Amino acid sequence: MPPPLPLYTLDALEPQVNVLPNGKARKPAIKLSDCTLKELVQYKCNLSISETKGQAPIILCEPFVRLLRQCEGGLSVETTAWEGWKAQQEGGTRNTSQ
Amino acid sequence: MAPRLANPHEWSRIAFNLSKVALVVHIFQRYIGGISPTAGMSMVPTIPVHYHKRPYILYSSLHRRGRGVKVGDVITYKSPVVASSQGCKRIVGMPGDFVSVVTPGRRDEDIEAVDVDGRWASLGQQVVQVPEGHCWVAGDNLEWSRDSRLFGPVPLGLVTGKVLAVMLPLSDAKWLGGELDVKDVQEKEHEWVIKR
Repeated sequence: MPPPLPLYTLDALEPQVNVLPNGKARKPAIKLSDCTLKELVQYKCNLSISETKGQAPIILCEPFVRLLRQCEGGLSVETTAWEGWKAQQEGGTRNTSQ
Repeated sequence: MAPRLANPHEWSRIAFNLSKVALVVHIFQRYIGGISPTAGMSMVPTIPVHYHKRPYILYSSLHRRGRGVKVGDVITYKSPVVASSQGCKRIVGMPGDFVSVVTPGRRDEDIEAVDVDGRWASLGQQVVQVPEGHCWVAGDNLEWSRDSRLFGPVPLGLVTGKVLAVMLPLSDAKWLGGELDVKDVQEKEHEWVIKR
């Protein structure tokens, strides 16, 4: 069995990226927004049964796009939820500073 | 019966040669690679599902135990929950990587259920870090896949190979791998995929 996995909220992701799985600090530290943004497309597929008789059902696949930040040294961080959260945070701080 | 086959020594010679062939095939498939049929809908639309013809994949066993695999690769692995069964899924995270929390797919009893509030395969606002010596796998058909969302990270020691390509059916034949499937972000919206 794998060890128990702690969950990190989106605001904890940036500091946590610089902690190695063994608990030690990552050297040199990585800034998440400096890593290359990539995507990996997966799907959610379901059968769609046609109303007209005699037609074979088709499989409809809705895309589920995963966003990945690929950093130097091979680290990959999924930022599907983080990108939107980060943009909102930056927009929010800009608004308050105005 | 031909006089040769009446001889018991001849039978033992044939059996010995057959077992040599079986041994070579076994060693080749386990340590180098081969072609294998697959079943199930967890990798649709990448690996299609068909009632009559089973899809065939080309796999490399040189990548067994997770050697040289990376995010975006499709792997085969011994199931950590069902003994003696194998799975085939895509790697989303390698040791130390971070992966988004996504709710599990449908279960057998949900086959007729209508999804109203994004119950299956919906994105959460949290991430997990993949522990050392493990990888995080997810089927391409997130709504109908049993993967790391259900049983957690898979030990790299259970990885039996990397899927290099889909070979049959010819209409779906393609090369697979992280270098092909992890792409630069595209601006326009992704289209739905229709399979017949």
